[in-house]
Amino acid sequence: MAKHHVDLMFCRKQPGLQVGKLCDNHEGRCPICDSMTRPTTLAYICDECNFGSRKDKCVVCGANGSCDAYYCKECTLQEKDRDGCPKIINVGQSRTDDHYHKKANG
Amino acid sequence: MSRWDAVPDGKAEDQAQPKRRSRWDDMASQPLSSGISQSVVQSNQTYSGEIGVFATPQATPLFQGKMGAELQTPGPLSPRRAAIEQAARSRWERELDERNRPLTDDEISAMLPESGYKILEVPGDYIPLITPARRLLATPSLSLAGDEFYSLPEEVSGLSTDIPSEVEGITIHPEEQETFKKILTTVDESTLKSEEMKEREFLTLILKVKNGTPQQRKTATRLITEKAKEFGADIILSNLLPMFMLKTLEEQERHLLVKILDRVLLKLDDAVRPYTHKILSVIEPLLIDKDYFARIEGREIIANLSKAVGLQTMIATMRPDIDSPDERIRNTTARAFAVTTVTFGINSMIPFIRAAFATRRSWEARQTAVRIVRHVAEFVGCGVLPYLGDLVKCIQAGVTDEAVQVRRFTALALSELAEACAPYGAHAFKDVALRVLESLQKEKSKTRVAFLKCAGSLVPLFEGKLALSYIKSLSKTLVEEFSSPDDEMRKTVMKVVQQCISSPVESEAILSNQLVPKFFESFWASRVTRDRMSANQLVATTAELAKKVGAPEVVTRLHGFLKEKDISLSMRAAQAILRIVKNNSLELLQNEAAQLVDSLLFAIQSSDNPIAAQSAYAGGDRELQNVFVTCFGAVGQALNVRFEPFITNIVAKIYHRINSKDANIRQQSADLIVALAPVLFACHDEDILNQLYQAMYECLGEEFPEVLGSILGALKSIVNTIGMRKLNPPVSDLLPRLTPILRNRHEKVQENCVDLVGRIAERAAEAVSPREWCRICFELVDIFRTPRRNIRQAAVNAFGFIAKAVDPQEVLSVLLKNLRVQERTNRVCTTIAIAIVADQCQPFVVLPLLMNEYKVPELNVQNGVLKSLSFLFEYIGETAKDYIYSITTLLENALVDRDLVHRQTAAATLKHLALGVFGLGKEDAILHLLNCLWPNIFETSPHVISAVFDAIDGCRVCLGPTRILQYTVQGLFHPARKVRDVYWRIYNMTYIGNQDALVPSYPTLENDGDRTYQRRELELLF
Repeated sequence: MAKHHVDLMFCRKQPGLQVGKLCDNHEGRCPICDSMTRPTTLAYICDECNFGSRKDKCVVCGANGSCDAYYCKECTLQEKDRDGCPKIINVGQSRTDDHYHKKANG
Repeated sequence: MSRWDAVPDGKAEDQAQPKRRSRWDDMASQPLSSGISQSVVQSNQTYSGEIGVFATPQATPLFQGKMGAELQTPGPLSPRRAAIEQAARSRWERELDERNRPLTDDEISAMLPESGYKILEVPGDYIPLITPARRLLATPSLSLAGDEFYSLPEEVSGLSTDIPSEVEGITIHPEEQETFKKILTTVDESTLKSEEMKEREFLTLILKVKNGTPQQRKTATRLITEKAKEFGADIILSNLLPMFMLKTLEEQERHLLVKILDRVLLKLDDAVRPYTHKILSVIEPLLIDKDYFARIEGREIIANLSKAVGLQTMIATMRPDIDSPDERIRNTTARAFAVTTVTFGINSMIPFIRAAFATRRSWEARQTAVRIVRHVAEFVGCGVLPYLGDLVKCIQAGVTDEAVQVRRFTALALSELAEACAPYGAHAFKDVALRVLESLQKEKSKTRVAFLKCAGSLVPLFEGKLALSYIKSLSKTLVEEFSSPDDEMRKTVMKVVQQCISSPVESEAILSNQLVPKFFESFWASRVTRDRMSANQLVATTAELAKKVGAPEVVTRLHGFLKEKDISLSMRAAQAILRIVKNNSLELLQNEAAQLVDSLLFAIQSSDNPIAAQSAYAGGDRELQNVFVTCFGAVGQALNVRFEPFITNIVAKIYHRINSKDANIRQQSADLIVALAPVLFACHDEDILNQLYQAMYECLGEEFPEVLGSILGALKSIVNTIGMRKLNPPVSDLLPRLTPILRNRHEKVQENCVDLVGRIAERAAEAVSPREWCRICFELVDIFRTPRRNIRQAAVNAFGFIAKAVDPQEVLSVLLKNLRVQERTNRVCTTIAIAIVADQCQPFVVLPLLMNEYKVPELNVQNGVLKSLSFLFEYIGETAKDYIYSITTLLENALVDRDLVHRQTAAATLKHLALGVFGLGKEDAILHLLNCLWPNIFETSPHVISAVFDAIDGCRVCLGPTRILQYTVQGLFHPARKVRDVYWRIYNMTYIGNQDALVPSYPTLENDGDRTYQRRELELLF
């Protein structure tokens, strides 16, 4: 998602031993480039992003996670898998806009 | 009148109480840590002289005259404000009346023929019913168009209507006239000062954001952000902030204003410092809004504000509020403080929290300090660990504080801290843990709940003997509270039970006092399950209990509830069984298993709980939707072969119910087949599965889409378990029945149908004639239009399998034709499908056709081809090495095309190509393409430039950083900044990617006088 919504922010802290999860909607996607092809490297997230209620939530949208997140082959080649925790930590303008729009217009 | 209610008047306050000291300022004996100058803490008005940690370089402004008038807490309405609200209300009512107005005689005679109708007399005793409730229920009609229907707006009392209500075509509502009055009057612009001009411009832009069309709003937002510095903080904030206080502000409008404020904060940076207090007073209420998104927005704004104005200003601004007598203000201030703390790091705020907690004369300040700690723990979670000791030390005295409010919030804060750091941090709580237990015995009502919660949260932190003794001393109180009538207490007790039993100490310690039977007796009751939150906690605790005492004991206690008439109770029992069965092995005796299956069957068939009521209770909870069926499936899978004795009975029931008149029952039976198919297969009952398959096959004419979707799901699950070969009727008969169903627009039907077709194409494509597959291809292309992504994904995958099964040329011709359609999503899906076909049937089948298609002189088609190539190379990866030379000329052509999108898509293709052939010796072609790409580095369109930079990064991986550096060096010191900036960006990118590999590539520079640039290898080694 972050590729298409520039205002989303990655956590980027030092990853720990926890593997990031993805929800049914984002299953099979690379957390960096959204590609669905050739998942290669397991995406690890930091301890704080796997803590408490955040445990096993989708790294992209925060919904309930169902499968492990992998970086695609291309991101692995470009070493984007080593940039830190890939969890998205904010909500993003488009989702907030959408929420209020729905609320206002039913 | 409280201090908060008064209009802040800096002058008066300064003169009347020049040395007014807040009670909070009286420190206790505890010394402040270094860097905090006493004088600064004492005087909240003057900050000249020495600046300590908490001082701000600039005094918090005091509002002069009318400046702060809009920000005061609204008291009794002023006549003007009342008029404004009246105006808003009457506008709304007028609009509703207008829509529901009965037709007039003229209108009716215009509609109906003149002859043949007669106007009847109104009966003398007729009194029309007009009550407010009726009015609300009336259907609004949208027949407002046309001149005849327009009526002049009535004058609103108290507001003048001689002012125009439109600016640049945007309506201004009467209640906004006050805010926008400056732009409502026409003046000669040449006589205005530049400041006034700017203000008018800003107000017009804000009006566009607030009331304009989406397009106007977008442009206006961008303009405000761009010109923020030009307008200046004064104009922007003194106009923007009062708008937040408009009574009639709707949530979406408030969101738009918050968005503007956020962007402006970023631009204005520390220029907003004089407005810190004003901004906080409008934003803080967002922190306790009931809407999650509003809370998040509030936090973001306060974090950005903190970054802009600095810690000292934030503390100085909020400090007077921490001992405010108003509970709401203290609450929001504590939250705002917590956000600031998280922004600057907990470390920097600990001295402040300690000082605030040390205030002796005001419990309000102590309570706020404790609250800050609580919210900090809530925000950062386990990030609190490094500061845990300090934070606990800061507030632990609150457990025995004289004020009950402080005690209660201390317990809550400690509980939040303990939960945040579990299972670590026992040492920090060592001192306070016993005191919590002692206080628990003494406290009453709400405070007791808080202390119980705190004690429970501490349990997971302790180990071994410590945990054992702690749980023992806690368990007595716990069992006592089982019978508490208080909702909050019940929830807390269940939570604490869960925490205690998940602790790894011996079971006897916990399970003494008959805990399990008492638990079921007290909590498995309708009054608990009817409340959603309590019910969730109940299910979680019960599932945890099963881990400790074993699944059979808990399940045998639960299955009786399945037969309960109360739907909430039976559904929650099913939910608990589902969770238990998923996580534990189910070693039931055969008669117990029979009872369980019997109860589940009863729950499914019982007419006491109709399916509609079930889904009403489930609401948005996914686990609860269809919980009986899911639970049945899970129990079946857990029993595995031991499920065999029950099969005959169940299947008979399914047969009976699948022909029911009630659509819900038919759907439920189909869902039951989905859940049980794997179990039946495990029990080697293929014949029964085949019979069910036949029954489902015969039901394909179903008219209710929800039911049809479930039936397709059942078919899919049977086909998945027994395979394609053994089906009767065979797949060749099934598929022609599915083709027309593909045209169904219902999402559930589409999803299951496309899935099933894809499965058949994957496993048994040869069983069906190619002509049938072609027909299906045409249907599948239409499915690309659906808004659901996973349906499109399933369709795209199905194309791959079909192409593999039949002649790919035919499938491709369908897809290539589809590139000509207008709709973008459809084209994108087509391009992906082409790429998948290439992946499945080798690229040499697809590439010639694609390259031929590129000759068509049509933008959409050419871009579609390029996009297909991009996806294609992303899919095939290394295989691209065999095709790279054949595609080079096409890409070269696209990279030098006039059209931007051509170049953008070609750049994306180049990226995938370069990464695909990395290390395979095709650098010559990539280098050639990089030469064509390079001139695009100065593009300004955001999408194009990001594609170009991605491509360069791909080339960097493929060609090595040296080549990119050679291209870059020449521009790094270019005289024009625009050129330099781009080149430095590329250089930085290269440096981040291959810092070490660049070392040998740097140009060798001669030593220059006393500066040495040369580094010999030997020296580097040493």
